[in-house]
Amino acid sequence: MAFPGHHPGPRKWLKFVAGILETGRGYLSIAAKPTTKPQDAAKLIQTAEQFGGYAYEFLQYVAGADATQIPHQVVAPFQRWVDRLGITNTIFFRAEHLPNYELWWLDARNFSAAAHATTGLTKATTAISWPVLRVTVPGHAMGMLPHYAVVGHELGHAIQERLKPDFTPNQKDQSDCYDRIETRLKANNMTFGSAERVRIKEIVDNWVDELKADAVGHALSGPAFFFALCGFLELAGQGYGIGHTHPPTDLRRELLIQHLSAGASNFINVFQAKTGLKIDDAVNSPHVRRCPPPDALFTELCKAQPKVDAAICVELIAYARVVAPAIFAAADAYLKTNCPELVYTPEQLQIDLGEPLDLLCVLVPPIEYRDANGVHPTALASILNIGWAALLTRLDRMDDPSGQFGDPTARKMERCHELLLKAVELSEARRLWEECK
Amino acid sequence: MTTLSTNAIRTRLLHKDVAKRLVISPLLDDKGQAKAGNAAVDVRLGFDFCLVTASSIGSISEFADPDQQPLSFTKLYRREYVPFGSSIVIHPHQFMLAQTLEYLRLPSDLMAYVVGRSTWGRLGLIVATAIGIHPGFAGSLTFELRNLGETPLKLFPGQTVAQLFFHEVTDADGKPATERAAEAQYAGTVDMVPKRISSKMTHGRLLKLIKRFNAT
Repeated sequence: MAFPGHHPGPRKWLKFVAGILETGRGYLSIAAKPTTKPQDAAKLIQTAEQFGGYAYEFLQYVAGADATQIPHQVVAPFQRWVDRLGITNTIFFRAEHLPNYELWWLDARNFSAAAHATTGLTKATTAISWPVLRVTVPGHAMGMLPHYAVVGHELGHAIQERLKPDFTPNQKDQSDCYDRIETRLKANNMTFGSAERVRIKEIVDNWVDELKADAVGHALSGPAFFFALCGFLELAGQGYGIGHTHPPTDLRRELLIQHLSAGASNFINVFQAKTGLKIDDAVNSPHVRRCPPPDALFTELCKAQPKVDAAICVELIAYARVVAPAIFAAADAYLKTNCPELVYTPEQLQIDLGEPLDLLCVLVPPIEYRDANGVHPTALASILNIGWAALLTRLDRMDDPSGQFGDPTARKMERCHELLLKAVELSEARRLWEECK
Repeated sequence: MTTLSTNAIRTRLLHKDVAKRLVISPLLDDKGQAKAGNAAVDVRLGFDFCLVTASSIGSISEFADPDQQPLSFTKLYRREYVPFGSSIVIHPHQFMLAQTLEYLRLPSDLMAYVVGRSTWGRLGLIVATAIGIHPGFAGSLTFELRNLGETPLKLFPGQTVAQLFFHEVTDADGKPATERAAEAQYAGTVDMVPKRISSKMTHGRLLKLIKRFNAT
């Protein structure tokens, strides 16, 4: 099995799994010794069986991480995002053939505390920076490169605890929100006590975390994140996307548009000036369902979730809208302080949608760019934005690949994807080459 | 036919007009790969390889089942991804496909020949058999590697294995050609697997001939 590049995550994980298997075998060896009492041997065999079971379970977690499943070209640039964001956990990226982006955490370091843990398991456990993070992206036909801008959101979850939005100016908004929830619950013959207050806090925290992750995704790749996230939510989402874990999709889209249009020189103006396309809620996610007014939404939500959750979600929308600017500001401030080179700007978009976009239309991938200081590898965020601009506004100018089957638009999209993957691969090659001077 | 000097090649690489620009990207060591006084650019081995494997599909024939031909081409190869710092061994008499690390795009008035580097040739490695690159080509070049020597050779992505010689293409009136191949089979391709053997027209005629002379 070949893992992308020299990415250490999957290998470290496999060594850990091997250590668990080795430890299980160790238990069996002790059980087989003539000096071991039968009742002790039975317990040891049971433990060995458990270790074997865990090993196979853990082995499954790495499925999709090899170079035949995940486009291997994207892994090193993602790892650069991870490193620059200061995420030190052991991480691996894997693909599955589902419309699913996910950040998954696992802490299994306690296995090395087993009575007969082998040196291999101890070493493998020490080599891992726990908890392990696993980022899942859609694979094969579902994995068009520009859509991978959503990974910025998942990495945002990995740093969400570090973002500290200031909600002190919003205390009145919060108490108003609680009042509205109480009124709605009581109007539906329900109580409002400490359990409900705990539930509100849980849901508020979940929503804030989602908006933090959106804010990080937006900061990392600007319009590319907007197109990718909204397109994905439209494809994968059922209903309004609202629930105890997530704010509604139309609100998330609205907030992203707000931030794309912030400032005099903003992403929306630049994108329109360079491509003629105005970014709004009809672009790339026209079929996202808009939430109806609160009462109608409450009635609908009650069909699928507990009334308490439905009431909280309905009334949280207004509160989330009010506190979102603080969340986006916190993300911007954190990234600009700690990794300013990762923050994608309208000025960079202006450059990316100039010659690099024209070159992509004549089948030249945006591998590198030249400025007064020489030739430099193109950043992942730039490639993602050039890709979206080409997909949304320039497919008509691209040659139709001849001699292939299928719909012409699909063929052009496929070619665009391949050229962008090539850009990611070769820009990374240049980066590695320069690092080894 | 004019052959471009290294200086002329460099000038074309920096041409302001995108349509007339020669693209070879990335040139990781531009001075080393395009040496002053020479007339070629060295190109490097890329990261993807296609190994021909023993197959259950029988012989390759574009007339066996025309609808399924692209699928059977794909089945011919086993792909191997080799990152920087790793290697792949080509054994004596083994055949495999590889790509240039560089992405190439030729304007309408340039064509190129890809030629193996002499050092590799002396070790037994043949790099390319389909050596002509037409105006308008865009993509990663595919090498058809064969080890004619008696010793296994370890190949590392990033090694310079071939060189490109560029020639100007003129129209009937002697001016730089402006027309590029509109339906070039491999324009913009980054994949190594062949797509078809014959053009549609040739395929159709040959098929009729086969039916005509093989009718029972």
